[in-house]
Amino acid sequence: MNLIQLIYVNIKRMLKDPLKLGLMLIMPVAVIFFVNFIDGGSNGPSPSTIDVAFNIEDSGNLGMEILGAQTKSQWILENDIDMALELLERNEVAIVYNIPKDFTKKINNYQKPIIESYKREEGNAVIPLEMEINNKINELIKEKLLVDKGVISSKDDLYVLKASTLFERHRKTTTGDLHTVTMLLIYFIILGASTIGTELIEFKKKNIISRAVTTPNKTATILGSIALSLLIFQVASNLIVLLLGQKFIGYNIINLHIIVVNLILSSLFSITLSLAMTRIFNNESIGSLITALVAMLTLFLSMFAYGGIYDNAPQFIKNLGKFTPQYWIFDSLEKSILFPNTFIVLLMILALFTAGSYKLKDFVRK
Amino acid sequence: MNIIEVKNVSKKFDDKIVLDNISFTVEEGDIFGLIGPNGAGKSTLINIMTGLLDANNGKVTIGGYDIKKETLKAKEFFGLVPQELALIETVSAYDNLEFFGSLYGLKGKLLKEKISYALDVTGLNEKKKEKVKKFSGGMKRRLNLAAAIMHQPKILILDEPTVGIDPHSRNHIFEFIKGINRDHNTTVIYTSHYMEEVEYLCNNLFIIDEGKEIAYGSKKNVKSMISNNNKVNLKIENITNELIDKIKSIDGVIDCENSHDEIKLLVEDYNFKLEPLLKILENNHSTIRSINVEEPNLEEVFLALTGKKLRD
Repeated sequence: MNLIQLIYVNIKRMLKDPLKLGLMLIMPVAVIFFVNFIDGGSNGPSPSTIDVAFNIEDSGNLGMEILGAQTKSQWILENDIDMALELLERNEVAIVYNIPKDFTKKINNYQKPIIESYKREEGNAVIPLEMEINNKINELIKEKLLVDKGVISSKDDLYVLKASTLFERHRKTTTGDLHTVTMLLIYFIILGASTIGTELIEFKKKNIISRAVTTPNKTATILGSIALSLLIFQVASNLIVLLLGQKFIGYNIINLHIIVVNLILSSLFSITLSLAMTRIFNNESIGSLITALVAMLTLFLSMFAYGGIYDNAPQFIKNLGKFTPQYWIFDSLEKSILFPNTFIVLLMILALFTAGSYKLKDFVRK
Repeated sequence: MNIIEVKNVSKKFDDKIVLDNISFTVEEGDIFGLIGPNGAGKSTLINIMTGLLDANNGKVTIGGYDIKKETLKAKEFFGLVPQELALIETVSAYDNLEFFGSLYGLKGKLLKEKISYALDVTGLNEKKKEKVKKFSGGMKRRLNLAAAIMHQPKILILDEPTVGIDPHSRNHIFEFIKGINRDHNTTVIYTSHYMEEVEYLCNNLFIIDEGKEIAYGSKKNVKSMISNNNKVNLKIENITNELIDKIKSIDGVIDCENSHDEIKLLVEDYNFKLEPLLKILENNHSTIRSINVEEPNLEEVFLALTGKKLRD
């Protein structure tokens, strides 16, 4: 099928264009290294930004050991699950962990205790905290086992070894913020709409499109091949950047399929936005500027809507932000969910595509 | 067999008529010239013939297929060399040909072979890896041509292909056009406002001005529209009145003027023969120093038919 061949030559062409390669590949690499640079000062895990309540029912003393996990603030309750759940209900904490009665007993028997968690909604924000709790439990079991079997004389010996051998590994798995990097990449993909729009207008100005229209291809095939090659190029380059980040910076990639789906949605939005803009604007500088402004405006609106750092924004602005694809994409990444977010973003893309689709012949003539 | 038929094509932009009831046919294997000054409607006509614009009235068939209704089939017949360069300047000549070749459905080994062929015939093989933005104007024009011939079309449409290029590239393009027509029987549609190019290349012509047909037919017929007379200039020795009278009596000679050592004849193209003239000069023991036959050129034809010069 000619479409596949056209996609192939378009991707090949983009790979040979230093400007495009720079904007679509080198820019994301710079982003993750920048994030790593500003985040990489500490060797330990980043403090979680959430409020947590621990209800300790443990009859032994090891339950208290996991309270050292870094959180924004902690409620520590003893045998008062009702109070803990009330805090959760009042929205004062985002999650409640219940340390069970047999916590110390199970660890002493080299078994992993089960900690129940209660939360209001699914989300990725607690993953670093839960990884830390999990690591702490593994440490406790390991300490107990090694001391009991006489491998080490006291648990302090374990930390001496750890300081010299496990330090780097530990650092690698916790530094670098995947969430921030992914969101920045998505922002840059959407901002990339201005580059795509510029390319389309350039193609028109340099008569490439008019020449292409005179070849025995449907205009949908010509435009589709350009759009699909941009989609593949953007998604692949950003995925490569993420995987490079995993290898060299060391963050853990969680729910890769959700990241891929959201990268595809962002790229589709970026392409359809650029199509709509090229339909409206004939001058590439103005088109590019307006597209960049739209990308930034929708990003800020989505951040207002998402809350957290812009809590004082008026409610109508927050509501308006929910009409941006970034809001639903970031929400999907945050909560590790695909439905209904994917569906909503696809509808937005479809609306934009309908508004932006045009006959190539008309585009050339304009 | 007619490979292109243009029937009663009209086109308006807003209220301005840019093509007014244009009709002509092109035979397979012909080199057909579409001539007219800038703004005459040549490019609009080419755009309609290649499916880039729709006519308001009339019909264009390419290889028997209606360009409006059976667009893709019709487009398989031709390659277009647009007047404006249509090249991607940020990549190499090879990458450009790979891109445009793919648009004509070429791929894999065949695509590589056709790229090699196009680079060879346009003399760009040595520059294939160089970025197009570094090319001279003439090289860009040749690459513009190469991009249209990779699929070896039955019809090659060239819209002012020699604008702003050096004589070397111009000659290269001329030789290529003659060659592709001779070797592959490719039909060539050549538009230009340079009459000498059209005189050199084309067999049949369509002259257009302000969207209207001015003249159409074989080169000879078009020229005969303004005059069937040629001029013959002779530089000889021993000019006498007796000699002038004898020359005047030759069939087809309309007028004969004596000017110093030169005789200027006005002759009928279809009736005049050189042999009787040469025989009279031989009998008169006249030494012929030069002889020159002047046909009316297309520039004069255009001037006579429209009252203006082509490059006004």
